[in-house]
Amino acid sequence: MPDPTTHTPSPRTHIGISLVVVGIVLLHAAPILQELDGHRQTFWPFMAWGMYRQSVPSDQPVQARHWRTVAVTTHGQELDLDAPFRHGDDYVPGSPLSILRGTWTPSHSLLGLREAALLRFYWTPMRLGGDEGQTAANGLARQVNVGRTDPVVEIRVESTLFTLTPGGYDVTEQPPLVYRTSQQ
Amino acid sequence: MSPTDLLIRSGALGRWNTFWFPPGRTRNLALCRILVVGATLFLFYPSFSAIRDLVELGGPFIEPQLLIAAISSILPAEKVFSLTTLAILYWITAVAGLTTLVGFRTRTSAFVFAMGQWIFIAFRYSFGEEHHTQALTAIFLMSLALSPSGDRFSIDAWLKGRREDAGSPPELTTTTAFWPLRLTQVLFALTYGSNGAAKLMYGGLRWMNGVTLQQAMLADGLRFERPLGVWLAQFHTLAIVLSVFTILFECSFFLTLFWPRAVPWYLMAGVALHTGIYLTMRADFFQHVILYVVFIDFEKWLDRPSRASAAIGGAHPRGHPTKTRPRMASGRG
Repeated sequence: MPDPTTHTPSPRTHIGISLVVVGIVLLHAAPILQELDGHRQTFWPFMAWGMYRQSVPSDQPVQARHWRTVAVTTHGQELDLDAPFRHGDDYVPGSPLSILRGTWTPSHSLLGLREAALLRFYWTPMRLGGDEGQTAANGLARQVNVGRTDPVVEIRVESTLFTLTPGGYDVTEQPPLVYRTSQQ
Repeated sequence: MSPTDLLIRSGALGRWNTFWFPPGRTRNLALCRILVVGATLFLFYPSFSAIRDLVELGGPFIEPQLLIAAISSILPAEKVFSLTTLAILYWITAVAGLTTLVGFRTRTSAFVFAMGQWIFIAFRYSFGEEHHTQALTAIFLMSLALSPSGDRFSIDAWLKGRREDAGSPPELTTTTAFWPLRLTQVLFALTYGSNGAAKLMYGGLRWMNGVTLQQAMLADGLRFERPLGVWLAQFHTLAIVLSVFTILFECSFFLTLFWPRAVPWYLMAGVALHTGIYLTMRADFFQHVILYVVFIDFEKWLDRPSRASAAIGGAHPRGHPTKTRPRMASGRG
């Protein structure tokens, strides 16, 4: 007599679940193959997980820059465009009310895009300078100026170089990159 | 001999079933449902302003995720991804999250909640963004829709009990209550393992030279204005120790699948690792930390009052073995 407290699913159920399980595990290979093929991964939520995988030679100095990107409007108002980097994602862990209220900073609303896209399309070329930097600055200004009555006319990229030395950090202010942007 | 016979004779099928389908009760899964869905709803649910900004200012998709491309190929993208449709979907997802939390029409609710999450995050990532923080949770949420996660601690269970006029429904044992937890455990091992393997494949043993981690901590510490990261990046020996710890943790996490006694140590190390990374480099993997609940065997805690009454009354209602310490989930229900 079967135990009334035991639910025994059919073998088909086990086979079905097994196929789901194997499928989910195997799907994690797809974004890896995509990356190996030189493409960005688009299989979310199945992702390649090789983060921070590159190494740095031991003889290379430990060195990095602190960047600030400032937009200046026609009336001289300065907008801090780096806030998305500092404040992070659009939710605040620990906030039980995050379901009810937005937690994006004003800079997010100014730009629309999220930090990875900003870095890729605007920040990185602007930091490198040259024509690509100017093109990126114009595009960024266009993005920021959507719906603004006081448009951005200049974007200034400032940086401070930190180099690790035996006595601590050597801190050097770098000359800013200034882009005059076309008003559109 | 058929492949099925071969699997049975070799014992592989038995081992597979023992690994994925051990008989057990559904309380563990139900508690994990409540904890993970609750955290997703109240701690990690995205604000609608992020989505609104993308619709109004983000322009066309930069790299549509497969899910978004699939939806766009079936339905007109300008209608599906309009502000009105997304707002409706956003609130439907939130309501489905609440009904999953309380266990009302749990399977359907979990499917809608998970699918809503998948679509929203895929939508956001179609604008050039990609992160890993929500991925495992999203897969776990979908697995709730395919499992009896609403059989306990739910309105469904209460309604079923009322229909059967028997108070609470009988404590069922089933072989399908563990696989979502096991799958998440395996995915943890897979993701940590592939992360560690990628470091060793791309960076080699040089990844543990200290300078690599110092450079990463300084760069991200400055980028995200994390003073602790900038300060810690000065200490070379500490960076070597932390690098070795990271590689060992990631590459050996799979041991948790076969060695339950190691689980508490790995979970504590994982919490320390993710907290440290958050404080120094702002990568917030708190959803992973919450999802660690899939490793915990809550049955032992839940059995405590029964054991107390058994100790007084002389017999345990279900005859479970008495243990005083909670165990980590190892597949034995």
